[in-house]
Amino acid sequence: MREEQPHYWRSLEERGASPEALQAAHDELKPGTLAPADSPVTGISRRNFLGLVGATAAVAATAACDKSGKAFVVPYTKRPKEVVPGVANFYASTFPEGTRSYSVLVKTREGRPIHITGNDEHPGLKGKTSPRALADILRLYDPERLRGPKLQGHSATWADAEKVLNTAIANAKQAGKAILLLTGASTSPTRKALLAELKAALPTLEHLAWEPALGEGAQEAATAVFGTSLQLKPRLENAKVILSLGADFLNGEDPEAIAAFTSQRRPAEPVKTMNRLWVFEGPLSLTGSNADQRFPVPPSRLAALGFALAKDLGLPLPAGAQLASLPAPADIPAEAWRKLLEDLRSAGSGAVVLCGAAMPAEAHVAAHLLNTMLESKCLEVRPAEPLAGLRDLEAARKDMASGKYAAAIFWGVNPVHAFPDAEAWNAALAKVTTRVWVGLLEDESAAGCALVLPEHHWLEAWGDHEDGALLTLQQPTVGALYDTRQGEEVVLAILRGLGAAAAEDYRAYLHDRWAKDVHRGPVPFERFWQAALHDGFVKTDAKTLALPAFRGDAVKAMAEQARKTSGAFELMLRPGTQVFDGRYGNNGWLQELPDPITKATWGNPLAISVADAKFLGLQDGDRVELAVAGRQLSLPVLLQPGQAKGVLALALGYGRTVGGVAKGIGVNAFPLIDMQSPCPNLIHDVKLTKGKGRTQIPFTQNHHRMDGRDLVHSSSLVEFAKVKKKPAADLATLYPDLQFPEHKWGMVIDLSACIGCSTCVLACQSENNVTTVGPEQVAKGREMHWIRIDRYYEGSEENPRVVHQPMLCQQCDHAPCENVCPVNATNHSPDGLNQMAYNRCVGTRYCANNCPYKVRRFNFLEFTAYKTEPESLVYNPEVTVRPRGVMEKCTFCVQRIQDARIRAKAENRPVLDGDIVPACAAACPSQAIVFGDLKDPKSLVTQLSRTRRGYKVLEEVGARPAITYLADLKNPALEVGE
Amino acid sequence: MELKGRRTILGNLAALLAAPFFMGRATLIRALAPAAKKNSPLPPRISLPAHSVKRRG
Repeated sequence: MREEQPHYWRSLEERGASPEALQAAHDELKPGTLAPADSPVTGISRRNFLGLVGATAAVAATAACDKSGKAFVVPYTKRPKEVVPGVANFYASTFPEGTRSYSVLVKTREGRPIHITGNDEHPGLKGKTSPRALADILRLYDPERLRGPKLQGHSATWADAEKVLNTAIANAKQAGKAILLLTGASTSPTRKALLAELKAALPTLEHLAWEPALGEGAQEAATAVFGTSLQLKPRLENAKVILSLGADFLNGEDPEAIAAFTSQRRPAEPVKTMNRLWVFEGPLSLTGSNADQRFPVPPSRLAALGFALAKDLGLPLPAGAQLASLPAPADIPAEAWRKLLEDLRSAGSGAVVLCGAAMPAEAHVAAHLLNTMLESKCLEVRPAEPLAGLRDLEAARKDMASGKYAAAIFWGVNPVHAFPDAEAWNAALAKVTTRVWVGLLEDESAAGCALVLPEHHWLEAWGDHEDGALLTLQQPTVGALYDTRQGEEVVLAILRGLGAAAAEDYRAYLHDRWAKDVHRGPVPFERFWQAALHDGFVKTDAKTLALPAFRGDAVKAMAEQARKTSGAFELMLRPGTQVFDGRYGNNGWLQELPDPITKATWGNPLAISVADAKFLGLQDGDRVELAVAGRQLSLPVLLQPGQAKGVLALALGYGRTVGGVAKGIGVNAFPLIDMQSPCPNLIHDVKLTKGKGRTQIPFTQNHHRMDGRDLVHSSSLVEFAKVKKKPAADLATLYPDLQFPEHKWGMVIDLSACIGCSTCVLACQSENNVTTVGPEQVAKGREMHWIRIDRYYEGSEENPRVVHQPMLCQQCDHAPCENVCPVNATNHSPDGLNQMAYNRCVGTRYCANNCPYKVRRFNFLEFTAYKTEPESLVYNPEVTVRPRGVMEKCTFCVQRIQDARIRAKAENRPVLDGDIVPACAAACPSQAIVFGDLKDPKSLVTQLSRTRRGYKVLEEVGARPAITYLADLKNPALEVGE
Repeated sequence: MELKGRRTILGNLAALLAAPFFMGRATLIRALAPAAKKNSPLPPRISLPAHSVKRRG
C-alpha cells in the first residue's frame, strides 16, 4: 500500500467536496428519507384520536365475528417420496439466454424452486453462474405470467388454440403461402433438429433467429475472415496479456472467463507475477474498471487502433493481408504504446485480443488479425448459429406488408419493442392473417397477435444445450404452475396437424433423440439418461475446433473502413446489464440492482463524459434532447468519470410499455438504431442539446457513505513489494474481550479478485428474502440490499482508477450497534455473529445510526406483507420475512451455518472448513469471498487473513470486525505519474 | 368532559355500531376485508416434476 493514501471518491460531488456533499456525509439519513408523509399525523387532539380508536375497535370486533373465508391446513396423508418437509431438493438444469446457456443447480423446498446456483459438478463453471440466472427465479412466480392460452383476447383451451393454429397452417400450406417464424437464438441442438423437421414438413416456412441487442459486427467479421459464423470463447487460464477493444468480458455473463482471469490476480507470498489487462474503450465498463492499464478511446477509433498495433507489432502478417500505414491514435502516450507492443511480443501465444460484441466488424477483424499474428492459444473456437440481422428483419417487414405471409409466429422475441420502427412493424403485421405469439409474459408484441400461447418457464421445461465439448440438460424442477406448454410442444402440435409423425411431448422427443444421437458406450441408455439428468451434463465426442484459415484479403477493405471517423458525438447502445434486451424488465430484483459502474437503478440515463457535460453545462439528472437522423429522444444524463470525450452510452431494454414493473422505466433506445448501418449499436453524428427540467435518477453511489477514512487499499505490484505489513493496531478498549468457545465465524474478501459484478448482491437477495422497494424509495436511500458493492474512483475524472469493495455487516466483536439498542434486539452470539431478533426490534434505528459501516437496513414501509401467491412462493422458508418497522442486516447466512452444524452433529463429526458457504461466497465467480472459522488455524480464512495484504476497514474505530479485506493490487505497465 | 365533544364521540360510536344492522354483515365484511375479484386468475399449482431426477435432497 502507498504510505500516504491517495484520495478515493465515489461521486463527483464527493470529489468536489461541495457543501451539499459534505452535509450529506454528515447526515445519517438522506434528505427525504423521513418524508413528511412518514411523520406522525398532526392536527388531531388526543381525545378525538382515542375516540376514533374506540370506534374502530368496535367495528373490527364485528368484522372479526365473520366465519367466511376459513381454510384448512391439511397435512400429507401420502407424502410424495421426494418431499421431506424441511429438507431441500436440488435439481440440475440449464438456464438458456439466447446465444449462451448456463448449467445450474436449483434448490427446491416443498416442491417449489427457491434458489439458483451454478452447477458445482460442471468442470468449467464449478458452481458459478451469471447474475441474471440467479435472478430469473423471480420470473417463475411473476403474477403477470400468462396462465392459459388466449384467442382474440379471451381465454381459450389448448384444444381450441391448436385447432385455430393448425387450420391456419394447413390453409397456408395448401395455398403455397409463406409462414414467418421469428425466434430468439438458441444453443439447443434438439430444438434445431425439431425446427429442421418442421421446415421439411412445411417448405414455405421462413425461420429467422434474432437477438436484437447483441450487435452484428462479430458475425460479419467472422464470415469475412474465416468464411463461417463462429464464436470465440476466451480461455484466460494461461493468458499473460489480455487486450480488450471494448470487450466487457468481466460483466458477469462469462463466469468461466472471470474465474480464469482472477485466478492470476491473487499474488501469493512472495509476490510473483500477475497477468496484465489492457483496455481501450469508450464508456467505462466493468472490465475497464478492473484494467491494469486503461485508455478512453471512442469506439469508432478502436479498429484503427487495432490495425495500427498489427502494423507496429513486427510479426508476419497472414497471407494476403495488407495494411497501409496507420498512425497510432494520438491520445495514446508513446510510452504506453511502446509498452503495449512489448507486452504483446513477449507474451506471444499467451496474449489474447478480445473485441466487444457491439463493436463494428472492422474492429473484430483487427482483433482476429492480432490473435492470428500472435498465434494466441487463449481462445476456444465454437460454432455459432448464423443469426438474422436488422436488414433481414426489415426485409421480413416488407414481406409482411406486401401480404407474402399467411401466418407469423413470434416465439421468445419482442419485435414491437426491439425493432427500430415499431409503427411500421405493426402496420405490416396487420396485413398477416394469422398472428401467433408464444412466450412467458405478455409483452408489446403479444398485443398485436390474435393467438397468444403461454409457454413454460425454463424451470418447468425440458431441453438440452451445447456447451463446447459438453451437452447440458434442462429438466423441470417443478411441475407447470399454470396451463402452459413448452414452446417446442407448439411446434410438435403443428407437425401433428400437418400429418407428420411427432412425439407426444417434448420430453419424449428429447429422450428419443438422445437415445439415437447422443448415447454412446456400453451403459444402457436409461441409466445413461438418469445419470445425465443427475449431473446436468454429459461429455461428448466433439473435438476442439481449429480456427479456420485467416483470409488475409479481407483486411485491406476493413482497414480502409476503420479510417472513417465520427462526427461530434457517437452513441454506443449496449444491452442493459440488468434487463439485457428488455426481457427481464419485469424483474424487480434486476431493476433495483445498481449498475456496477454508474450505480443507477430503475432506468437508463444517458452516460456522458465529465468534460462534455461541463462544456454543455450539464449536471446529473438534467434532461437532454438526443437527435439521430430525424429521430429524437428526451432523457436524463449521468456524468460518467472515465468515459471518452465525444462518446455517449445508453443501455437497451428499457422504455417498455407493458408490464407492472417494467412499464415506464427508462427510455427505449431501440428506435435510435439505423437499420441500414453495418454497425447498428454504434451510432455516429449524434446531436445533443440541453433540454428542460430534471429527472431524479435513483442511484446508490452516494448512499451509505463511510466518509473520509481509510476504506480501500489499492496499490501496484511494484509498490506493494516495498510495503511491510503493519502490526495490528493496539487499540485500548473498555470492553472485555469476548470468548468464543467453539467457533468464531469470519470472512476474507479479496479486493484484487473482486470485479464488482454484483452477483453476490443478487444471491443474497434470493437466499435471504431481501425485498425490493421501488425507485422512489431507492432515491431516498432505502434500498434493502444486505451486501452492497462500493465503487471507488481514484485519480482524475478523465481516466480514474477504480476499486470495487463489497460491504456487508462486519459482525464486529465490539459492535457499536449492540450497545445502543434500547430493547437488546441485537446482540452477539457465542460463535461471533451479530444477531438480530426481528420480533424484538421496535425500530428506533439507533443501531443504524451507530454503525460505522452503514450496513443496517430498516424496513421503513411494509414492503412484503401485501405479497401473496405467487410472489410469496419465492421466499426461502429458512429465513424470516421481515415486516415494517424492523431493522435487518447480513447474518452471514446463519441458516446455512445452522444447517451445517446440524448435519455435522448428525454425522458425529466436527464442522469442516468448507462445509459452510454463505450465498455471496457461493455465487462469487472469482471466489473473492472466503468464509470460515477464525478459531481454526488451518482454515483458509485464517491463513488469508494473516497475509500481508490483509487489513480491516475502519480498524481505528475499535469495533473489531470479523471481516478482513485483502488489498487490491494492479499490474500497470506505467506507474502513476509516468 | 366538554358536553359538545362527548356528544359527538358517542354519536359517532353509536352510528358505527349500528351500521352492520343496516348495511348487512356481508357488505360490511366486503368493505373491510379484501374482496376476491370476479374471474380471478388461476392460482399457481405447485406439483413435483414427473420425470426429473434430483441431485440430492
